[in-house]
Amino acid sequence: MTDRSAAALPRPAPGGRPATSDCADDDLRSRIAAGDRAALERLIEQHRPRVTGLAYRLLGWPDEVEDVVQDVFVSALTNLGRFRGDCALSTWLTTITVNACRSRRRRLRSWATRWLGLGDTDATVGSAPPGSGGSGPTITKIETFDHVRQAVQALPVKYREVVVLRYLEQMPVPEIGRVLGLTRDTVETRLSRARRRLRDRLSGFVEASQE
Amino acid sequence: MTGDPLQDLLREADATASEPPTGPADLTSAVLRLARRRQRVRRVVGAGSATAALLIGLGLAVSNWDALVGSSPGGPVVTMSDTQEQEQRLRREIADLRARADAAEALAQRMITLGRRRADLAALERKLRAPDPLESARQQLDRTPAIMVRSAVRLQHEYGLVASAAEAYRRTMNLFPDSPWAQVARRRLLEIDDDQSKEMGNEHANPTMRSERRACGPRFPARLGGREQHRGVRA
Repeated sequence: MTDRSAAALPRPAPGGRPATSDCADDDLRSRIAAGDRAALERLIEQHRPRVTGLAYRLLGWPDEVEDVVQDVFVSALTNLGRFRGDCALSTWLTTITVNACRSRRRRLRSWATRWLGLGDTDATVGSAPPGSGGSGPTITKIETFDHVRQAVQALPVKYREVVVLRYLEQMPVPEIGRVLGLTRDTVETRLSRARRRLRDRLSGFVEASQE
Repeated sequence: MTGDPLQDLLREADATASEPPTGPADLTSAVLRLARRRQRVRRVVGAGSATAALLIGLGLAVSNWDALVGSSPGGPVVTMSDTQEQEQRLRREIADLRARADAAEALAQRMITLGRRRADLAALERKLRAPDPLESARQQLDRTPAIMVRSAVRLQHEYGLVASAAEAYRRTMNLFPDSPWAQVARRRLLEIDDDQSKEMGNEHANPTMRSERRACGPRFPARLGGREQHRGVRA
């Protein structure tokens, strides 16, 4: 186990939602729509750690996420008029973050294909073989966790999203369905398939962690 | 711990990842700036697309003018489905233009970020090339006993301040006992002691000299007094 505190990363409260009521959301929304800069600042202050953490995980723990975080809040600001208020502001922002990360990956992939002649960048990230010889005594925990992150990164986007939202963001399945626009059954199926893939890749590490 | 080994492993892996980089302190300003810029780009692209659509529409209208005006019952007629097809084609072209503009903007953003990173890297390299303050302090410290001994020698021989010189030698020995300059200081101190004992012996032997010394003042005068006295002796 690591001794690093969970507070080191910007993490949301369990359940994935800042402690704001719907009334507060409405008030904030109407004030931002009226051009109140302080309200926008408050929105960013409240949701920035959560958005940053989510983008960081969805993009595979990269060196830079600030562009995506900016994109998320710009999209939120631009499309605030379309927000109907039928879900919490945090859920809406989560959806925007997921979409921003998808766009970012698409752009990077097309850029890599066009300019660098690479194929699918996702596939190249997790190409190290972590599963088979990984449980040897010389492999340190840091390397193990590196392999685990690579395995998550190597999952197809639709599986990675549910894994990150469910296990790392601790979001309930119905809310994941709302964020991704999927039924509960589909979310659970994806989770189950993602788990199977991860178990295949990380079999040695999972067994070692059980011992 | 959740009891699910895979979930625990994932959480631990996430917790050991480095912290996400912190963005600009004033994110609100950056967001507002970016939103305004995108709005401007959209306006320009929108106006361009509308103009292009208008021109294409006019071109099509002119090319089909004869068919439209001089249409006989058996001649070619522009149907609704043709217009819809044209509209769809125009929409696709507009979408394509927008996508290209977005891609160009994204590339420009990346280039700007890359440039910023390079500048940061260059600044870091400049900082690394600068001399290490700790190292220079250490060198300064190594030079200190030598400077102290040289000052003491000047006090002794140029200004005749033997007591101050002896004190400086003693301080050098105390502060830097392992330095080779401590040996030099010890030797000089012994020489001073020898000189003093010799002089004391001479005074005992020659009472006239002792009386002269008394007339001149103390053996180890104060700093200024000693200096003046030394100059006076020289003159």
